[in-house]
Amino acid sequence: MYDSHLRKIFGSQTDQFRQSKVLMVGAGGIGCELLKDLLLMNYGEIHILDLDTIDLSNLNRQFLFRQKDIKKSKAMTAQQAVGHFNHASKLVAHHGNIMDTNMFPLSFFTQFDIIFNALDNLEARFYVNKIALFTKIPLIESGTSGLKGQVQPIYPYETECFACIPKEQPKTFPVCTIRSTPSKPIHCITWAKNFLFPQLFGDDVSDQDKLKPQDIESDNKAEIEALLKESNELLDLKVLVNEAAPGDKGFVSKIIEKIFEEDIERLLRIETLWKTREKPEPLNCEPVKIKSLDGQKLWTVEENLALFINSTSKIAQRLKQGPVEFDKDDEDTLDFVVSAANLRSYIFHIPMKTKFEIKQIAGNIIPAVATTNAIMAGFSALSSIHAFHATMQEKVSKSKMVYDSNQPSRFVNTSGLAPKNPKCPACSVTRGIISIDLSKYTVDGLRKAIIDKYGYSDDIGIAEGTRLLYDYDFDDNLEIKLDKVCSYGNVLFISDADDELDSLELLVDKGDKLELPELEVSAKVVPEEKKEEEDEEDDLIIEGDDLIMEGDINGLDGPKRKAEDDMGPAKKRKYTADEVEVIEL
Amino acid sequence: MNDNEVNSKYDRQMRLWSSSGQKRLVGSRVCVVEANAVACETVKNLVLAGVGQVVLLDSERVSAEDLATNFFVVAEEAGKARGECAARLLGELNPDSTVIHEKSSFESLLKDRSFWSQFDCVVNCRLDHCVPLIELLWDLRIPLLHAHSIGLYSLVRLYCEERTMVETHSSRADDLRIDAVWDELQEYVDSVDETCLAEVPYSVLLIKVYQEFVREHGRRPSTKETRRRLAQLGDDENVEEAIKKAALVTKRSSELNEKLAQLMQETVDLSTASSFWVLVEALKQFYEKHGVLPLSGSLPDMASNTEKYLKLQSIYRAKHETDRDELKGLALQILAQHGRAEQIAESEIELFVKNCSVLEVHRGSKNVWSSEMLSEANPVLHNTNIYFGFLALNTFHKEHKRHAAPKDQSEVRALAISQLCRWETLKSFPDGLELVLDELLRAEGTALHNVCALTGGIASQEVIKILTNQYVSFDNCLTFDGVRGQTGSWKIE
Repeated sequence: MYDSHLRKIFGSQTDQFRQSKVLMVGAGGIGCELLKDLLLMNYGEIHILDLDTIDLSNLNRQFLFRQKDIKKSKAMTAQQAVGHFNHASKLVAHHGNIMDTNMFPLSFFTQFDIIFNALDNLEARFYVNKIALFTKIPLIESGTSGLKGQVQPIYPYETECFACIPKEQPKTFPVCTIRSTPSKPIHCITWAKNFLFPQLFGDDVSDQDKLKPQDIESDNKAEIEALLKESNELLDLKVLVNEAAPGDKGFVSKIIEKIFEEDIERLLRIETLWKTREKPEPLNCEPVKIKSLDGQKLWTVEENLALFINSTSKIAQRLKQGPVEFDKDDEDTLDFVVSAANLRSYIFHIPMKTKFEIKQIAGNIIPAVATTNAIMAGFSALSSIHAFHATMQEKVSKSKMVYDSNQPSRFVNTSGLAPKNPKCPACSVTRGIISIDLSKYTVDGLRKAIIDKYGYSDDIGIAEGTRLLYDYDFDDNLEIKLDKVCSYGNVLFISDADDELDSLELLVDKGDKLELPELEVSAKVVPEEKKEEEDEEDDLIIEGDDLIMEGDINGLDGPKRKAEDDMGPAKKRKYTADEVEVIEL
Repeated sequence: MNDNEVNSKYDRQMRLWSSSGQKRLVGSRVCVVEANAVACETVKNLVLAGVGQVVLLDSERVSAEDLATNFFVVAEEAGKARGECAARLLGELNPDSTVIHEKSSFESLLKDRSFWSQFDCVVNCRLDHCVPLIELLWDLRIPLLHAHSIGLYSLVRLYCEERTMVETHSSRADDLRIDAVWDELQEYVDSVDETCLAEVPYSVLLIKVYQEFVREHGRRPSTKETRRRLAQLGDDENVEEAIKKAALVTKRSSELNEKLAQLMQETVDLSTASSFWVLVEALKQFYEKHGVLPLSGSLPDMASNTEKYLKLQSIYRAKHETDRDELKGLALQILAQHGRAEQIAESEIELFVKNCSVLEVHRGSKNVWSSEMLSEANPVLHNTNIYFGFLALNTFHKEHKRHAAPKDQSEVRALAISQLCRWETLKSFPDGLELVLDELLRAEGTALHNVCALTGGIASQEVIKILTNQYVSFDNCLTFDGVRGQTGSWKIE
């Protein structure tokens, strides 16, 4: 074990690294770098967790992976790839989803001294943030986008958590814009990817997914009727896709006739739509023979049509082997979305786009390069040394937030950690872990124990997620054993029926009996009015795949953020969740 | 791999520098001196990005310290040639790149101009910045980076006579010419009447409000005044967008940013200058004649009736093409006036016009030190102290052929002072320098992998900017302090 160099610099802290267990969530761009950095810090035990497999487009930066590793588990491959290096750390790889509570119950997390996030999506980031809040384990959050990046050490309840500053939300469009009156390329791409693709190739459309009249934000009766009719006919097309024989391309002509001709003619008959808009023209052309098309160049409408036919029949054949989902790195599905979007653009006189451009939009691609990842992973690993200071005050004051490496004059900016936001929806809540054997206790038993322990004056409400388990007006579940209504890893939301005391979040962990955490539940002070607004926003926004960094995380982009807040809610409130097509941007 | 696969492999980075930048990387050759951790981390990032060839110049053997700090050596090869081991492991990262080990000694190559002239960029990762190397590469006009790390500190410095940057990727306000409408645009704006206000792109609304206000008041409207008028136009999406972008009415199309104004003042010898400077001269003439720059021609996405948007787009495009052709004419004229027969590629002119408001030029320096660094107004005093620290350690290392350790504290302090005094009459020791020296001594020359990885990340990012000739380089010195988690950069004149 070579640690004399570490000893020169860190002294006895070197032993603390040796004795520590850390978790790294995500073995991608930042993860590969970070794993190497953590190994060379001699951390005692490093757990590598990732649900993903390796793809060709990872190889420009995820240096632990090679061409031959494509399709293999990232976590497992990363563990093996560092084998040549004579390291002292014990490595454990987990191929799985961090949010899977069966695989990773709370007890899994509590074994770690530090958690490193090297994730690529907001949902998992918020999840790990919440776990950190429940367990009070220091979390080092990181992300990059092109030449920019950020690292944020989080000391739960002491410093700003990941949810303290609202994140930029994905763009949404009204259904009508997508379905009947597109005016920008993005409308057509959204239509192809989020509407047409699942309609033709998705799992059988359940009643719930069917378009309902009230979903369409339009006063135009004719338009609503047309859209509903269109939807029903699409279900017929799906049957055609399912029944397509190998090599048969005939069914594709029917699809083309329907979506690029008949549907457009139907829209044209609704004259009110075209009073102020230019009329679309139903598709009227023949495909040409294509070999390989250059993704950087614009294709003709005939080329797009040919590609549409090829990709549709390919996907239809693949469906016989199993489900096919849109994936930006799956050429067939990408070709389908590119050609369908371009054909629709053509019909509506909207400029067509290159495959390269459409891939970026449809695939929600964040540029990524090894250099930025190396810089941010280096900062992330270095930040962890501050978690070993004796006092919280020292940990917090010595830690630095890092962001933005693209300003040539400053290169990398750092600032001290901000205190937590008192209005943060995540860390302003009182929370704890309840240890319980769910098969032994009833809902009522839990209710009484909570009232007794925390001094709620009269009655409480208990909910799991959006599901109500009990309140004053709903006592059906009272005598039911808890394991019938919730499971380990769930979070129970406790609210005061009298609105006197604050609400409480309890994470359910497996135990022998019933043990409630020691918590101070303080008096309620939340102004009600504000809350309603926030709830509404939660309803209509669906989280994007990738983190959009910059201003929204570092919190220093004050004026800009403020301006967005001012404009935001008023505009967003127009829609509700069911009425918008969502594109993750 | 076929072209498609190659494109997929580099897809995520080509979104930063496009296929033109990638092509330049593939055709590049870089030399990295020394195979320590900073060097190997730098090479790793270059190889992953697809740089065609890297030559790793190293004549050391794999030591215990290498095994503790450098990921690209293996214990089985302890005592063997370090550069060979590292080159092999680094080469495996990407079959499209070649990493070659050059085992000749650095000193023996210092006079070999033909060896160095094969490279597009050189990265020196030794402690010694090596003045002869700086001189040689300066002469050959090859950009040189010096990158090194000790303990929790590191240093990156760029030596390069001149960098002219066109594709800077700087964000800028949209160039809509609200206050400088030309005939075709005016005609279009006039054709828009009350009946179709809801259908036109917001820039048309801004122009209408702007012109109306100027007619009535004889002066430009403020953002607030513009918003007030726009609000009366209804609540259509394009009006909402116009309100959001109302500040554009305050942008004076005739105004040049400071950097560009300065650039146009520079005197260069046009009989030998690069095409960049010929184009700058043409730009200056264009501006003197028209009072505005050539139009970049790109129109942002705006809510609008598609047909109306396309019409407006074609008006901007046509103006851009006219301006570009005029600039090209001016450039050719300048070349002819100076008896130069060469041409400038259309693509180069197009890029230049598209980016003409955000051009950047850096003039480098060979100096190891400049007097501003000792001024009391120095805002990055702590970071310059780290730089001084590296210089002192280098001097010590040269004299004693070993790294300075804590026991050498007094000697290193004396060295630092005498060095600073040689440059300038020093009134007092720079604040905090002693602490920085102590921190450096504590490490006794050893590196910490984390800091090396981070430093390698910064160095390789700069190399890529140089090779692709895209984005803006740092100018021209930077140190990192891992104790405070902070970087600081400044220019050495």
